[in-house]
Amino acid sequence: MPVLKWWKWLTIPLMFYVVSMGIMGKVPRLPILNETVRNLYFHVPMWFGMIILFGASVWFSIQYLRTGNLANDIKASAYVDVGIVFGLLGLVTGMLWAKYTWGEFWSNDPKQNASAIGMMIYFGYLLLRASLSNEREKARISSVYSIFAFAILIPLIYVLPRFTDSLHPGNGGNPGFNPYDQARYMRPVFYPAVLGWTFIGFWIGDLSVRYKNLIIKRLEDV
Amino acid sequence: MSTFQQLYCLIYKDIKVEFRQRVLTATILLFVVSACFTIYQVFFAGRARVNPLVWNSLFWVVVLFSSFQVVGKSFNKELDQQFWYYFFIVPSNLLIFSKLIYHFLMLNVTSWLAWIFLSVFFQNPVKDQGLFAIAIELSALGLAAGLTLVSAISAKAGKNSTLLPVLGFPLIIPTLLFAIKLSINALDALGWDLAFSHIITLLSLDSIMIALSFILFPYLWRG
Repeated sequence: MPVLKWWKWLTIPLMFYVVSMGIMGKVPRLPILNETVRNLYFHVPMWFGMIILFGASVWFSIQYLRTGNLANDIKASAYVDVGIVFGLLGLVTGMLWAKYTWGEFWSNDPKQNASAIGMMIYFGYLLLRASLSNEREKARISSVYSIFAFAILIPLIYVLPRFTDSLHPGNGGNPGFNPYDQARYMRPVFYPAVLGWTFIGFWIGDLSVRYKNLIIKRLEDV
Repeated sequence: MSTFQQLYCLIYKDIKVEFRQRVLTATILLFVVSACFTIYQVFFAGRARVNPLVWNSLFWVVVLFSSFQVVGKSFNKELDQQFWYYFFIVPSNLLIFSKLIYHFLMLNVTSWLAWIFLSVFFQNPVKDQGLFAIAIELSALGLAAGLTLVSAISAKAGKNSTLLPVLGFPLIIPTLLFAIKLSINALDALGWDLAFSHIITLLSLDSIMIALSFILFPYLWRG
């Protein structure tokens, strides 16, 4: 009888709380933003989740290069898969939000561009894995690429947008996402949302890892 | 042999091979020249005027595309048995270091060639040539650092020649964007005070990529 780990038990009430409070909870009434401010609970946690998942993947890539244990590589690739899904959802939720607040789906905002480039980098990772057939070689080469790519992704997302004015809240003099400006009663929903979505990401990744392990076990049995 | 002697020998060997088979170098140089001339013809035929910002963008496009020509073929030559020989006589991160310096030198050649030819065909609008030269050098270093490891990866991954641009383009964008910001600074001669933070950022980005290539390359070639 498999038992859920403690953080998986924690995820269930967290997500019920986040989704219900995200849709029905009290939010400030602001011009232009209106109800779209609720996107804070769904769009922003996607990026937190994506970066944490990619970070976990890099950690397992490093572990693979150190130990040569293929179990680490399976984890690394599974977390990248989920991270890409989170990134795409973050892009889509951000674009929908931008349509109603900035007026366009895509407005050449540096953060939008950086996240699109980030997605291209990780699609490259998938392509690289697909073009190699030998398990060991696939694991080794994609680990090297993944570590290198993550080191470039961080300045891309956290340094580059700071050199350019961004339309994003909290940049270039427009108010918004900033722990000091944020309405006090939004914080008790926002932080659990980040935690909950990240846990969901790891849960999906975990399932994917177990599925891949089952396939390997089955191949070995045959 | 000391490390420096080994490094020198490896780079010397690359340059020597390049001069023996002049076709490869000549192809890259002709690529740059014909790219510049084609751009000139396209703008002439389209009756479009090249203002300084357009000139700058064109320059970086030529540099970017020729950089893929430079790094594209260099590891394919090493894939045969010869490489095993190097593997046993020199430390493998020395190999990537030699390749990196070699690519840096070659990218210098292509970048300055593009600079010369775009200045001949169009008027050179750069006001602060010193700052622009720094932008070229730092971007050549960044492109060499970013693309050397990627070209090794794609050479390892097999014969798929489009893999290099697909993996390389997104990874090179940050370097390129900072170099372009720096070159716009040079274009308007905004002065060194404003450019300083860009130079520092570009330098640190370059050093991150060089350090990582150095650390990761031995794992790549081990198998």
